[in-house]
Amino acid sequence: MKYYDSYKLFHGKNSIKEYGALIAANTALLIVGGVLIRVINNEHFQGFITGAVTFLCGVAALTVGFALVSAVFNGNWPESPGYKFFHSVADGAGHFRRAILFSNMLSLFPIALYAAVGGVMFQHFIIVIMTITAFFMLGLINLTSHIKSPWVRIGSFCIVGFAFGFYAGVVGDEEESFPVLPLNVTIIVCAVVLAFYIVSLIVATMKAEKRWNKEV
Amino acid sequence: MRILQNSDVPIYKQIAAQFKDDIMSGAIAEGEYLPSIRGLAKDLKISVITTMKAYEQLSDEGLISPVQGKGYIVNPQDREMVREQHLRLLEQHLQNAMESAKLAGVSRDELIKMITVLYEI
Amino acid sequence: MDAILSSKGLTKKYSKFTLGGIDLELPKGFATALIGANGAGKTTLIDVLCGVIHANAGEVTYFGEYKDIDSSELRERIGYCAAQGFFPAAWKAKDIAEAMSMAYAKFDRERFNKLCQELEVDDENTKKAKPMYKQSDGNRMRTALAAVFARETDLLILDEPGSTLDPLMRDRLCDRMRGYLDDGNGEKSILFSTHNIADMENAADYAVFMDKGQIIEQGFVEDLKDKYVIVRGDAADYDNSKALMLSHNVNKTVFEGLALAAHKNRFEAEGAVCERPTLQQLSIGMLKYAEERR
Repeated sequence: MKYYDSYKLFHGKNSIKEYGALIAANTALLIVGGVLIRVINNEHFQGFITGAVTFLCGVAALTVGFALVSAVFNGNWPESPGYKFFHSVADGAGHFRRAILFSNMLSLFPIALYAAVGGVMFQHFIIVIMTITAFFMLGLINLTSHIKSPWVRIGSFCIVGFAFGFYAGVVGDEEESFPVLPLNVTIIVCAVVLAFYIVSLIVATMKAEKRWNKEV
Repeated sequence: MRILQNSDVPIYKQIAAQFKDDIMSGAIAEGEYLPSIRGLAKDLKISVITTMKAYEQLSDEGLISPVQGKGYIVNPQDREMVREQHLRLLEQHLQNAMESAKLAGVSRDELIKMITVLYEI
Repeated sequence: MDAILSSKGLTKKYSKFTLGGIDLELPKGFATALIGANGAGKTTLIDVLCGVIHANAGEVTYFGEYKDIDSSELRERIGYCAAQGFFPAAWKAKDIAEAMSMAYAKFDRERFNKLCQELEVDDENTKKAKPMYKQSDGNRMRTALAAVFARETDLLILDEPGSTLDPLMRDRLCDRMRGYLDDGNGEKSILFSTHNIADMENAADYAVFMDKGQIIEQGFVEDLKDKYVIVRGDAADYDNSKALMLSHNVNKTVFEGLALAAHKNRFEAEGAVCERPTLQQLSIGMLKYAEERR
């Protein structure tokens, strides 16, 4: 409850509702898409739906996570509106730490849902890639949010985006090696990314209070 | 209460003068409390310190006294002094009346008659 | 004089600006105006007092007992509102209400909505309420003021509350401030900053003048008005009077300046006239004096 309160302090009232609506829409899209490719037996159509739906939902899950977590981090940027409100509240540092944790947990939910529903409906590899990307992006936000220069943050995002795009491309092209190569690589990548994410979360929450009281 | 915001007379003096008149005339009786400093400031749309200064002046003149936690109370006024003040005021007004009478060519007897008539109304 | 807030040697250093050391005593039960030009350090001082930023040196005592601004009991008693961007840009009235009730035990939601209606901005029940970033500076300030006045507090600290408001709204703000002091009956106090005191003269009881991170004068407004005079005279008499004035200006017809009231007789002997300053005239004279002395 205390964690949810801190979360609400940073997000106000609306976010939960909007966020819930987005997840519901995502899930519906995944299910409808999954049903369509089973009903309509056209290879091109199936390919199109699979690509479009998984991509859209992946991006949506990623955006939700990004928005939720970075809204909290924004509260510690003197340039962003809201800074002075958050910093004049009692136990601001504690709220900050709890809100980081809660927002992270909350943003894992759409990613997990996306992976689960998407996995069942499409059994397509891109879902794994998107899920992993989402985790990696979140980890990156957790780690880079305190860096003053926005270019460092934007830059690292671009590099990661490009790398994953490339990875997806490689996987997509070499369809023959699809079951062999990606499985090994992917398991390793999954483990590394997951570890990276967990470390980022630990670092972000452990340093939260110190960063809150440090002025930039 | 009538306050001129842009007068030459500082606002606190205007307030003090008007309370003084009211106390002298008995419009505010002894033992009554003046409005609270902050309440009066709010109603007159002026700062608290201005009403406070007015009350301090009245207090210095011995017209009112501060009561801990209750505001300012009107002191019992010296009856003789009050009467004296009224007499002085009366004299002044009569002086004015006489001057006007002279200007208008009203004689002494006529003036006295006028006063008698007016007094009986 | 009971001090609601006092500071000793309060200092905040930046690479290009230093605040302090600030020795301040705010009188309990009154409204204090923090007056200074842009860049004088008013916001920095307020932010330090409200714990938004931390001082490098010095200490502050609040309500005669608290020393640590991070005490939640103390935070609950101070109603702070920043000059701009107080709430996140994406927030609407209901987000503000939600977060405020999360942050403060004595935040009255109903009062907030009523205040929003009075100040003519979106409240929680407004259909299609606009987020902060879609609203004017004035409306954002009104919403923030509604939020802070909806709390039960003992000390209001408002940074430039009147600057973005139109004259009518500023008048209402002054009414509300006087009402706040009246409700407190001597127990509630206000500190507000302004670079334009003209429209808020009648809401200021105590004035603190700031220049370049320093306090150059402070006192009860009526005392300050007794302490200083505005001097005016013919340009021909300027040279005789100049040395005694704190700040002055002259054209080919007349001169005008600020001086200590103690010297009134000497100016009048020189043929000049003196008058009791308004707070606005006093501010201009003081700030000019500070500027010339630098």
